[in-house]
Amino acid sequence: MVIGSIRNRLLLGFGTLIFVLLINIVLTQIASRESTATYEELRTEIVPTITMLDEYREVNKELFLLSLNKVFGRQSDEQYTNRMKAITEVVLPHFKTKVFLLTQSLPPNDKKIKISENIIKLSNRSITIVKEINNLLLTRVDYDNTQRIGQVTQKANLDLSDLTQQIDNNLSLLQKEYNTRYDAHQTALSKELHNLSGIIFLIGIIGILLGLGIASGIINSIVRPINALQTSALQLSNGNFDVMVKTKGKDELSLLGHSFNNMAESLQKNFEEIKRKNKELEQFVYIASHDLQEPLRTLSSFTSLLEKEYPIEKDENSSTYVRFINEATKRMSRLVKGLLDYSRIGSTKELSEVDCNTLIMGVEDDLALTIGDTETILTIGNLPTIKGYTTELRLLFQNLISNAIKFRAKNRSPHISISAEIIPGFWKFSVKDNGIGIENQFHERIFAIFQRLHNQSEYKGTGIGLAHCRKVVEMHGGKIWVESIPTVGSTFYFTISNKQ
Amino acid sequence: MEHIGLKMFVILTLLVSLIGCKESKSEEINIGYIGPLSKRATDLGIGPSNALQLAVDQYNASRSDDALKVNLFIEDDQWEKDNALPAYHKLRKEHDIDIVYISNTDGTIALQDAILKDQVILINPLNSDALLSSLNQNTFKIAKATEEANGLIAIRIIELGLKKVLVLTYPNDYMSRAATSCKSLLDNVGVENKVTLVGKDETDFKDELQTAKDAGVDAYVFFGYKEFGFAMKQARDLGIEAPFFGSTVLLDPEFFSNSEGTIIGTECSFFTPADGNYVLADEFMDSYKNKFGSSPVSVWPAMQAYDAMNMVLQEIANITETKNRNEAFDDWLRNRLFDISYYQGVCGNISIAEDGASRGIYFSLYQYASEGKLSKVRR
Repeated sequence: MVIGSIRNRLLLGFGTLIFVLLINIVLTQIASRESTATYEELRTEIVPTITMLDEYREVNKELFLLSLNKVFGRQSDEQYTNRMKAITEVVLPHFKTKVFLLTQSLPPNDKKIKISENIIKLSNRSITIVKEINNLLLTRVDYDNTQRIGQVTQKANLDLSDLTQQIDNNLSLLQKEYNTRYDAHQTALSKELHNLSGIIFLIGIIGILLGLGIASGIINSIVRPINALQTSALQLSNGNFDVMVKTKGKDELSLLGHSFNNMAESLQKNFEEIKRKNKELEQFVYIASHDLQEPLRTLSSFTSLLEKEYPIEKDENSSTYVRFINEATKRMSRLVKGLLDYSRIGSTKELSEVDCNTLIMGVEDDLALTIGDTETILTIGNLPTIKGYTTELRLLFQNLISNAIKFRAKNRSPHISISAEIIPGFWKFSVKDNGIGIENQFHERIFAIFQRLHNQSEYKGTGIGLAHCRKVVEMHGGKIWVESIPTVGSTFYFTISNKQ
Repeated sequence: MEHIGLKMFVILTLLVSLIGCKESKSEEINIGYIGPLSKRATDLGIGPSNALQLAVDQYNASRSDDALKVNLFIEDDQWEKDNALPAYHKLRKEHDIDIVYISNTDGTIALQDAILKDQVILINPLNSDALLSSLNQNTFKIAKATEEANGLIAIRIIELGLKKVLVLTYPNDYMSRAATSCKSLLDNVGVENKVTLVGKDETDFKDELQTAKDAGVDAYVFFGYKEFGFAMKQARDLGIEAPFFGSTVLLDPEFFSNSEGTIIGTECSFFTPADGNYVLADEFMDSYKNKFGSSPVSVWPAMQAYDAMNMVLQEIANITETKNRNEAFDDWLRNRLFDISYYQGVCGNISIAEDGASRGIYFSLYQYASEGKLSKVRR
């Protein structure tokens, strides 16, 4: 499935999650609306009605008991009378109104209407009888009136007792109806809440799984190409210009992959071109330097013959000229040889394990005479075994040690320390001397070919040694530089890759 | 063009001002109270005015942002019915009141035409009797029933087996109605009785008392105010030892001082927190004491006034939900008050009947125990 750019993919992912969330909200709302309606009916209608009917029954019984107390307990004072008045004038009328209002919302054939009408009718009669009792037993004197007592006894014992019972029965019936509704609503509410909980759980699980799937898909679709790019970039950095990233689709990472491939292709082309030009150059240098040797050798031979066969002692000028020609020829020969050596560096191209300690010992043997003559002290640390080109590395160390001896201070014996340490990706070597040192401004220049800081009369040489060194170090993927304090000494640092 | 623009601006400004004025008027309701704050029956005026103010303050402090603010303005009628109408007009003119509370029964009658004309709702928070219940539709009584409360005295006299009763009566509607109800009950059971109307500011009752003593009267009923303190003292001075009975107003401090203590032992109908919803009543009494520094001299007028005000404030709090935009204020409030069937107030559970009178406030029999103190009569 073509999803498009990462932006679109992320939007689609989040959009899907939001959609699932919205469905969750909508379904929850629908389900909870039903529960809310059931709960509201319970809260605002059924429970208050049951409570009201409870209170109605209590007050109905209380009125009866107060009446009995008034009639038979001869309790005529206001404590009882006032409460009876409160019930008959305020409380019962209020409950009657409530019961009446209940019937207004019921369908016409609902049996609760009949029950409610009965309750109201019976309560009206009950109120009338209680008021009659109160009027008949206004004072204590009235208890001595046998006729009155007979009347109130009849009203309390028979009429009111019967009415109270009937009212209570009807209230109980009505309450039973509402209790049934209460139970039904409770069950419905419980079921609705259970369903709601199930819906929330189910959609939650779906949402989580979908979220995980989408997240995993998006992460993979982003991370996989990035990993491929990283691997390719690493290969590219190791010189593998043939590496190509597989691209699919039209998203940002695919475009990046395309760009990477283009870059690698371009690099490969450039590298091939450079290699080709380098080879041409090397060939040119080799041919030039090799071919130059021949006329130089001829010139040197004929100059020697000229000196031997045509003695010119008497002609001082001629002798001097011949000597100059001879010296110039030799110097040019050395320069051409140096150039030839420079072009040959790395030609073997055979990597091998090189024990630097052994290598230095060999160099030390080669330079034993010079070392002895100059009383050079060579301190060699614990050097590593590295992968490299033996001949070239030997030349590197030899050049650096030779230079350290050659450019020694006049007032002290040379002291050369060679050490190595590991840094990320490289071995870092240092060759430290106590020689004449190098001015800051020459720290770069000294590594260029045929660059000399001194004339031949001071220090002999072709000025190609450190150029050789740089070429060797760069062959090993490293860098070379110098830190120096004039008159105090110099330290040459170079790094050799430890990943070859 | 410039003139037309200017005219339009002026008209719009006027319209905005008019709308603004109307809005600001409808955001507040002004209520008046007319009661005895000086001269006579101050126990029926000061306590209620404070209770009304307390209820209004509590309402304003807790009202929601969209609920109307209520302002209360109080006028002293010195318990004279002739002062009622001027006080009412003053409240209308100065504060444009929509509701008036008035304690005096005669004053209530005096305001009838004016409240109907002004579409003002009148509430009597002190008394409710048969006459008041026959007044116009804008009149409500959230109070005890006069006849019922004072009928307790007659019932007590009958219960005690007293045979000859003198009922001294102050000449106003309330006391006359109290005397009539008492007399009616006594007549029903054949107890001999005589109702004597006294002069308004009369303080010398020796002649009436001497005559009664001579006639063998064994129960003296004083349906009136502080002047009857003198009568009680004079009766005892004449050697009358028969029991005294009074109305609902014995706690006026001047009553006690005028009687020089002879009021002690007098039985009367009264109402205390114990007779009402004592939880709410205690709370009210605490709030009252906190706000005014002491309890009202007589608690029942204050309790009734507090309930009467809260019943109205309860409706005002919901006015935005219950009143139609085109419904007159008095029509709306009248209908709302008639719908009250069960208000749980400090006096108990109160309803308003079709005659505009409340039900649910019932007085009991008390006895004057010591200065400013009553105790319930136990039998």
